[in-house]
Amino acid sequence: MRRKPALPIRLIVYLAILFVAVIINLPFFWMLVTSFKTEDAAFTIPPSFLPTIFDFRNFVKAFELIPLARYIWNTLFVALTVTLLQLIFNSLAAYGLARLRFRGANVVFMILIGTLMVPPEVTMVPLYVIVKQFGFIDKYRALIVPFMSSAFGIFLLRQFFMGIPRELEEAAIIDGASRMKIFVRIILPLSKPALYTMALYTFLAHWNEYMWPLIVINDAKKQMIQVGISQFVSGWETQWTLRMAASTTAVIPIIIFFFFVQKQFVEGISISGLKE
Amino acid sequence: MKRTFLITLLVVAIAAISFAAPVKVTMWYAQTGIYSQTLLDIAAEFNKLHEGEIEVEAVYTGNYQDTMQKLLAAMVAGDVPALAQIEQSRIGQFVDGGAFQDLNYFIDKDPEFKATLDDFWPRFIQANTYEQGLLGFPLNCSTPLMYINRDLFKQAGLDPDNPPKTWTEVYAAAKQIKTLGEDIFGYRFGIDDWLLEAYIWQFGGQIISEDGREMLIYSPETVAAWNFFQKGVREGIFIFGVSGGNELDLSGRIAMVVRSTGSIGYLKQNVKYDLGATTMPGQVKEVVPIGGANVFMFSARPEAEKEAAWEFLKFLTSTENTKRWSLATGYMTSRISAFESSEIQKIMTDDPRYALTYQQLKDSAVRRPWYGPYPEVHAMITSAWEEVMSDPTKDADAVLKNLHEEAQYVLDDYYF
Amino acid sequence: MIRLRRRTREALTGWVTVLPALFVQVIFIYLPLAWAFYVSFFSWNMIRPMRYIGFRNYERLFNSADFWNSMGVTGIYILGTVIPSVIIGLLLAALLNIEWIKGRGVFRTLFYIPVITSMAAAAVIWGWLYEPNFGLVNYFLSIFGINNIKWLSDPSYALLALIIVGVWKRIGYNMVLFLAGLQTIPKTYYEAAEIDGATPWKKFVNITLPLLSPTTLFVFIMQFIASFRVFVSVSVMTSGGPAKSTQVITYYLYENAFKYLKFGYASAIAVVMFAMMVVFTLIQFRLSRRRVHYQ
Repeated sequence: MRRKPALPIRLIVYLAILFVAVIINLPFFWMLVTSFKTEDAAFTIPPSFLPTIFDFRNFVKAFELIPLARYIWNTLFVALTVTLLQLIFNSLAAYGLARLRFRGANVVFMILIGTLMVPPEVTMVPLYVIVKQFGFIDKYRALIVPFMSSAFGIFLLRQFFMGIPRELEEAAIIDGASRMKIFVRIILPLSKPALYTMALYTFLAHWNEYMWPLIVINDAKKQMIQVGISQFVSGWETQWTLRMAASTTAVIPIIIFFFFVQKQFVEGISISGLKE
Repeated sequence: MKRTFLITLLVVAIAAISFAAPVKVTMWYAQTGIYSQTLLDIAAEFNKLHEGEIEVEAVYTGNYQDTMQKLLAAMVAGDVPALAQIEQSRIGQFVDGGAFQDLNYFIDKDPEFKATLDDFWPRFIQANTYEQGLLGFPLNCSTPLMYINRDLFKQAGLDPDNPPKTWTEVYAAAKQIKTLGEDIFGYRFGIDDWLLEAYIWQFGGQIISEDGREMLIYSPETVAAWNFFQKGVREGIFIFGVSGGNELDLSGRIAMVVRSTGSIGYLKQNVKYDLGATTMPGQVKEVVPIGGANVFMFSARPEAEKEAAWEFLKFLTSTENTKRWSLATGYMTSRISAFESSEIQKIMTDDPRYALTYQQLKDSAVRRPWYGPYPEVHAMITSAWEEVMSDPTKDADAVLKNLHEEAQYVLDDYYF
Repeated sequence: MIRLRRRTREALTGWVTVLPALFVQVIFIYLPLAWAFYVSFFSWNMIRPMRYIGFRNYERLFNSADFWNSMGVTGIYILGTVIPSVIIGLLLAALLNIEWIKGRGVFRTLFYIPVITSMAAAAVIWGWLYEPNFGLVNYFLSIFGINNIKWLSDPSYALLALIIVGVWKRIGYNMVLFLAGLQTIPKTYYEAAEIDGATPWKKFVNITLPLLSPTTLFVFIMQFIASFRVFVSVSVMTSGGPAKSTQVITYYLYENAFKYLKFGYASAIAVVMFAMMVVFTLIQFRLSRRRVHYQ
């Protein structure tokens, strides 16, 4: 096994990491602190890092003013459904592109990757028209169906699948296993870190989606969390502390979730022992 | 047997009539928080009164700009709502494209309502009248006020009860206030679109000709206005910033700032200093823009739906409801009768600061430019303004001259 | 004979795997793009009927100082964000992959928080932090004797301010991708190198970097595209200002589409953007061909 370096080096490494962690989290910390402050205390010179009192009133008020819990639930449903569908569609396509030889595979890959380069600002209008043709307006389907697969996910998984040693597969083929069986039995279990990563990013993207739900959803009861939070913003005066409380509420579940799954990114089944 | 059949038929018929689906009216609005709640309450009350006949669904559509995006997507798909709240400077191309319904069509058919039309503030009706007719009804309108940090005034030996009336006086007061300290500023300003318009007008300049086809911005008056503010920044007695304005205002280091009348409540609640207010300063002219949004009806909707929407529009702007709206939000009432009601009058006797906006509305408020190409022209003005204000050595004259030419090109192109 | 059948079956399976994704992407992304391409030959404000104007939108685009300014701004933004965020992300991932470091989970989570925070909220907070008079950034800088930078109000600093936010937001994002990539590198390689007495740095350069190259290529391309398309932070923090110093191409497109209602022109911008990104990405793939090492 590898040895630990000497104590001073370890200390320096720890300090460096801690330093970056603190710097990088100042904005978040600021948001957190602000959500406990009263509006007038939010802006003092010099800036104060601690709220004068630990005041949960902003959170209570944020929940009172808009149906935050409902929005969270709606968004959870949509984002999870999209994530699940993408896991299936993307991993399938990525497997085909990474492992199966067929004419046109490269073109297909380029076509799929090309979607990343389409500016959504301009396709939003025609997409709305298409979604309307399908009769999806004001339905969750409008938030789910167009996003069942993504170039991001396909690309990520393809890169990962390509790193898996071919010998594993070839042995299975000789044993007469079908391609699909190999995919499900060998490739997928070996790719847990990538699958988790993709799932997390997909979930996050849809959790934070604002413009598209605003455009296709009309019924207030069906609305998504980011649109809900925006209700503390516009008009003449932004209620900053309320907005920060609502934003904090939207972020904290994901932080907790991440903390518990982050091990999966790195401690999925390791391939190391398999290849020599 | 026959009788039962007939009775059944009758019952079915009655049921069919009484259960006929109510006419659905959708209204998109860009209001949040208490504003939104008041609107929803009014809609709910209306629905109760018209149960079975009309059902109004009020939909939150983000801020003014997001609402535009949603409206345009809907426009292309043929999905526009019957009513929408749209911010004043964004309506031009809808007006030019004939997207809005002329409300006179309904008013003429409604003598009872027509008789009360002059109960609306005349300047609001003026502001909503276009070549195509009366297109909008006022909902959330406001004018800019000058807010004053009375504590700083006193510390600098100025009389807060006699605040500056002209920009020259603002400059003099600001200069005196600056002596209080390096991080104290006399006047704060940013890039708020309606204030940029106000400054130019107040110094006697103009932006666009009445018909919207000719740029008039490059004039000695506008140059003087821009030089005035640039000088204030250069000398450090004014402070200019594109962001962080609200924080500065609350911090108590700003002696004077111009903000919406709608901000009174917010500022009163959140500042720690003695807050004063006065009408926005003039210079050559006393003139302020009417900011905010109006409600418009889309002509593309079916007749029955528009009739129903008209009922709601009347309800929304009735004396009772405009009063309620104003009490809840701090925006101006759209009707004089509401303004004269004891509740509104009481607010103003309790706190005279609330009366200022009505004074401006009577004396000096005008409609903001609304023309189709104006948003682009406006963006160019903002950019030029930023250039001049962020660089104290920039030659305002040259920048304005260039701006004028380029903006004229945009106008020509639009009307081509 | 059997060989051929196997080939055909493989090809068939291949098509079956990609078709669902292809179908979704074509209908919901390429169809709208094709429509935008069509619209780019028209003058259209989404309210009045379209008017065919041939290549006028493109002519105008290439003659527009604003367009070239926004290309320049976008270019600087890409250079400023992609490289630092990839390097810092990689270093952090390598650090947090070291087994003797305790509390790695907590650190990973901490580094990931900026990614989770929605850009709209984060941009607002950064707006406060950058406030020249009482914002935290200047407060810290003043300790080092640097005073009164007007971050978002000064055309010479605003883009830098946005680049910092961009890097801040992406470090964690890249870190997680690299962490996932690191797991594919067999530990035995390191063990073998240790026996040969390799230093940690040598191991990093000779084992980690080459074997991580598929992930690195992915991260680079994703970051390149994300930077090309940056929008929210610009929209919330600077609206392209002051004096167009942060008017990135997407924001320019957005303003033309939904503020000035020049939808035909905006579509032309979109088509040009698409073409440019495709070309640049192809170049990246081509350049990477020899450097990326698939196991």
